[in-house]
Amino acid sequence: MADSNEPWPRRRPPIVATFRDHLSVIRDSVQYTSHQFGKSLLVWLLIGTAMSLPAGLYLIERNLEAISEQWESLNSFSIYFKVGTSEEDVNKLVRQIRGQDEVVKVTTTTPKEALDEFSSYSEIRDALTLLEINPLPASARVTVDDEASLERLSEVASQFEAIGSVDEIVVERAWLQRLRAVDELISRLGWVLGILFGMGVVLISAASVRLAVEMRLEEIKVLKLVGATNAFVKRPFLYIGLIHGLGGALVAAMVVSASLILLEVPLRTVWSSYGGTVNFRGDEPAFYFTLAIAGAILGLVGGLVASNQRLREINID
Amino acid sequence: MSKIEFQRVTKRFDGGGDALKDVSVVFPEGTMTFLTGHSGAGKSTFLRLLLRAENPTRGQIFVNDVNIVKLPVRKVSTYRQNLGAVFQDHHLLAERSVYENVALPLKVIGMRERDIARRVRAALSRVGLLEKERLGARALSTGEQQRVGIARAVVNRPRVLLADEPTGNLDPDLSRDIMTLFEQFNQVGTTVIVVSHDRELIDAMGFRIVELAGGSVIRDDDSRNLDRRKDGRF
Repeated sequence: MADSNEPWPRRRPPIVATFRDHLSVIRDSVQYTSHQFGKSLLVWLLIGTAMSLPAGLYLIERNLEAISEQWESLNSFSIYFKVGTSEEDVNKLVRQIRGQDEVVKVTTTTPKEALDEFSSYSEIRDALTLLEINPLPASARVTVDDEASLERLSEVASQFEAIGSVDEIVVERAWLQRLRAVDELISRLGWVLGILFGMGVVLISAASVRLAVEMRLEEIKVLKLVGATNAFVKRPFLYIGLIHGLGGALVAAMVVSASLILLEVPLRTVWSSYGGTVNFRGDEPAFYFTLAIAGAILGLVGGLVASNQRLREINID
Repeated sequence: MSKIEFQRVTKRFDGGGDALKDVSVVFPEGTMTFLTGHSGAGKSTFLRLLLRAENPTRGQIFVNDVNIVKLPVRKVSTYRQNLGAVFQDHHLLAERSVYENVALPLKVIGMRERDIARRVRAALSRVGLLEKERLGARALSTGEQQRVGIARAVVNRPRVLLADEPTGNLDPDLSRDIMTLFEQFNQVGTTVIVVSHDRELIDAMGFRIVELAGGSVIRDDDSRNLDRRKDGRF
């Protein structure tokens, strides 16, 4: 007997049939994208470009975080003496600094040591040998107790500012705070761009799926006439969106990896010149897995948006 | 078994006149009816309303005592899965093979591939196209495409069979074969409505005739069905 709301009882396809149909649709969707390889490649490149910027910013943010974590323990400041300050004046001040309770270590660098170090990094070492006088000052790196706050660190450092032989005092912690502020800025920028470019990926996927829907308009009409449900009709387009998203994520992964390879060596040199050793973050499987999932979801949403919108417009109901 | 009833159905298209005007007609379950009339009489609109491809401007259409005019959109697919429809312009997928076209209604309901193959080949055999199952629909003649459309309509063993000029492109012998096929479906309980203006064929078949003109029923000759019932042919 029929349901009171339907002329005939509903025939639900068995779960195994739905599963089989999904497999068949996946195969057809892969075939579709390979037959339309030129268009698919263009879509992958567009989506990949849109995804690589927020993904790259995310990696930059993570690496800055790693750097700031590494330098978290650097409770130190540097004192730069005026050029020409005698070794005796330097040692006198160093003894005075060592007398402070919080100070745990003072390392001095003579003008000659500074010049040697500079020469080892610089490409103008030959020019430096021509100088009659050493233009670099002596310096002292002062490390204080880990427990000392930034305020206390600044207070200790400021005690020596008024001394005549001192030219400049640089508190690294302040630099670290600026780094953290930049890190936060990049993080927020990453989120904003992530949302904007995510919407872009959805729109790109929707536009490409819409094209696929247009190409199969007649087929959709026939399927609807023989009783296909909306879910059945939409299925291929959702998989096409998913494939576009996954392909775009793959392109983004390649772009980000290539950028990391290109930037890693010069960045390591910069970090090591500051005395840091940085292990770059970004090549973990979890990052690429997340990128693939994000691409798949955004592509799928694009497919859903396009097929829903177009199916509503098809006037056969 | 399906009873179909039109109750004071009017269909008016935007910018046009009434395709159907206040039509009331009943098709008892398990009957076969020819719907006839001149071009523009409203025959195709009649079938489109039954397919829920259109909704009437006024009136109700009951199928098995359920008003399909008020059928929620999400239930329309299930409704159509129980209909078999032959379209005047075939509605075949040109890029797909004959087999794939006929298999569509079965794929939609999630039938197993093995059962699909059996049913499709049986249907193609009935319309004489088994040897052409691998050909693309585009490669067929108009008459053959018509037969593929007929095979697709019957492959799902529908409860209601609707055919819009199913023999329009077929020779007289093939037309009679197709009508015999419809009659066989009717004999096992399928309600069949055939739109045709082939008077010779309609008269030869001896089923009920409903004639439309200007969107109204001008003739409903049910006596022929009665005769067939008396003959024990139902």
